[in-house]
Amino acid sequence: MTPADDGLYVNYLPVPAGVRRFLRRATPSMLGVMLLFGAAWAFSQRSPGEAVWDDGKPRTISGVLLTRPYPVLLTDDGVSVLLVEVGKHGPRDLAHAEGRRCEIVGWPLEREGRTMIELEPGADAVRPGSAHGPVPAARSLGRVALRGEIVDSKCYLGAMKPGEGKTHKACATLCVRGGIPPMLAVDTPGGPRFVLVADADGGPMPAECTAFIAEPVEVRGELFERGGLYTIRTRAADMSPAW
Amino acid sequence: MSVGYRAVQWSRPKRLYDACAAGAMLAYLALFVGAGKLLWTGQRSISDEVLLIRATGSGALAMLHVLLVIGPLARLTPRALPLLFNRRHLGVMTFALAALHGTLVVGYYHGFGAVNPIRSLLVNNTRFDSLRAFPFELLGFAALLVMFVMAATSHDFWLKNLGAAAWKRLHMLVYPAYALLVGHVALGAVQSPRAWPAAAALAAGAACVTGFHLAAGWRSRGQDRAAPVADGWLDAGPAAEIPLDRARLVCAPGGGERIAVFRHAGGISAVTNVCAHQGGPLGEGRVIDGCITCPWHGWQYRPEDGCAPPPFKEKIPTHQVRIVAGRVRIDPRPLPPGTATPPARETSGA
Repeated sequence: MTPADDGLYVNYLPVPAGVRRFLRRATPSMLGVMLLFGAAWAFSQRSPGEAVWDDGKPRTISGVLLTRPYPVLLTDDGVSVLLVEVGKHGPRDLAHAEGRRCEIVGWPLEREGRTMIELEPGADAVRPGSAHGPVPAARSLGRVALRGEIVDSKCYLGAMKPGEGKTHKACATLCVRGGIPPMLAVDTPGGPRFVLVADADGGPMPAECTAFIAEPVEVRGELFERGGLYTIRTRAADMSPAW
Repeated sequence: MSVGYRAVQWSRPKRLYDACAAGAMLAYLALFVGAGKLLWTGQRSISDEVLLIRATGSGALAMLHVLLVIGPLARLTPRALPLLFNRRHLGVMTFALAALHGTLVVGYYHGFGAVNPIRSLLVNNTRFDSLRAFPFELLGFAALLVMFVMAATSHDFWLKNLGAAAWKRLHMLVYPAYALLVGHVALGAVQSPRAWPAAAALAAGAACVTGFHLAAGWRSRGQDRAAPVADGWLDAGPAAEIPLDRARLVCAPGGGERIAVFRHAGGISAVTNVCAHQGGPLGEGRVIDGCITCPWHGWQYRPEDGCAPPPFKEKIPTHQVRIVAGRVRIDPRPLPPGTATPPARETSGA
């Protein structure tokens, strides 16, 4: 066969010189545009904030275990530590350990001073003692209106980075439905940074509130504090989008 | 052209093409992940899985833009035809990258919970009434399904068994898939805070794809020759104006496939403009070694009977031609594929 000498490319014939010159310019140009597109996207990524998930050697912590609205270990030095399981699951049934001094074993997650423990799998991860510890009363701080985003506390505190925003909405919803404590990451200045979201009676957040997860939201309700941990008692009717 | 099916009929140009495409894909992923790792480090770093999800998703979208631009670019300049001839491999690579993105998303965001990950993907968010809360993942999932169908049927086996027209219609689904992906990104990643570079890249990409298609469409309009009906036949203009071994395109009034009118070896022949392989525009090809050669993949047909040279067996419809007072007349009714019809001689008069 004769080569296509007038510039028409046929894949089984020699490449015409004009086509070859064009490809030498066009191919790197297309690659350059593609990489430019990627670089613009990549360098626009925000930091997810300082958070750490230490999944190395498990740690043992002692304190008094409380279960409402979500399981928390109130440590001997007065810090409240949230408790969750491996994966997107809230803690096992710990009602038998309510108010008792316990030792727990797991991996810490921490962000901006808020700590969570991911319990080690197995029954030995929570060892309740026979003694009951002192439990400070929850202190009401009155009715408030807070703006922010309801996140699943485990991802936000370091399990996924970032653990917020629209692209994380499905994961956050799955986590909260699985029992991970929902937490309002507050934008309102001058108040607490992290506030757990509970129902009006102090139990877990109502299911209908999950529609507001991972969206800018205003939450109105009564704010409580215990052991440095804040909780807002609210209901779906007291939540509204805050675009 | 093919006389049998193979997984891939490798050739040096295909290997070179695939190496360039794979290299570009890996370079993109390395750039994106590397930039993310350099940008934020230590406790402020982005999770590796998130970086990979973002890199594979944006990379697949970038490759889809290249895929969509290659077609109109090749219409605008034949020198871009080498980018077109192995486009199917680029499409399969794009699907593979998109599938990796989808797998990572389903595993990472929808896995590790009490609900089946696929079920979580489908029913977790049903806020179809809100643009801000819209389940954008479902748009990406639908696009991935479409891309799967296209990738799975990208082989000549499916082209042959579905028929070129049905196969081409099926693969035109790339445009709805692209629209779904634009929605997927616009209602997903672009809604993240300070995502304006991603929004700008998405808008620029859509403008680029639209612009190339409009330009190619405008040029094709200019290439079409009006063909007024004379005695039921079409007038294709003076025979002498058709370049040697090249074609002039004519359109029948009322639509229908274009007809490619070739001048070769002192004769005028007319065949359908649609290649039997992938529907390539034969009229934009040329006669090489006595055969009309498709510009897309080099498939060949004899001008006088529309048959591929032996041992190949493909056939295309031909049209009757005559020359009246130096002007070419075409019978708009196609003859059955492979029907021999003698070329009209420029010296023969009527």
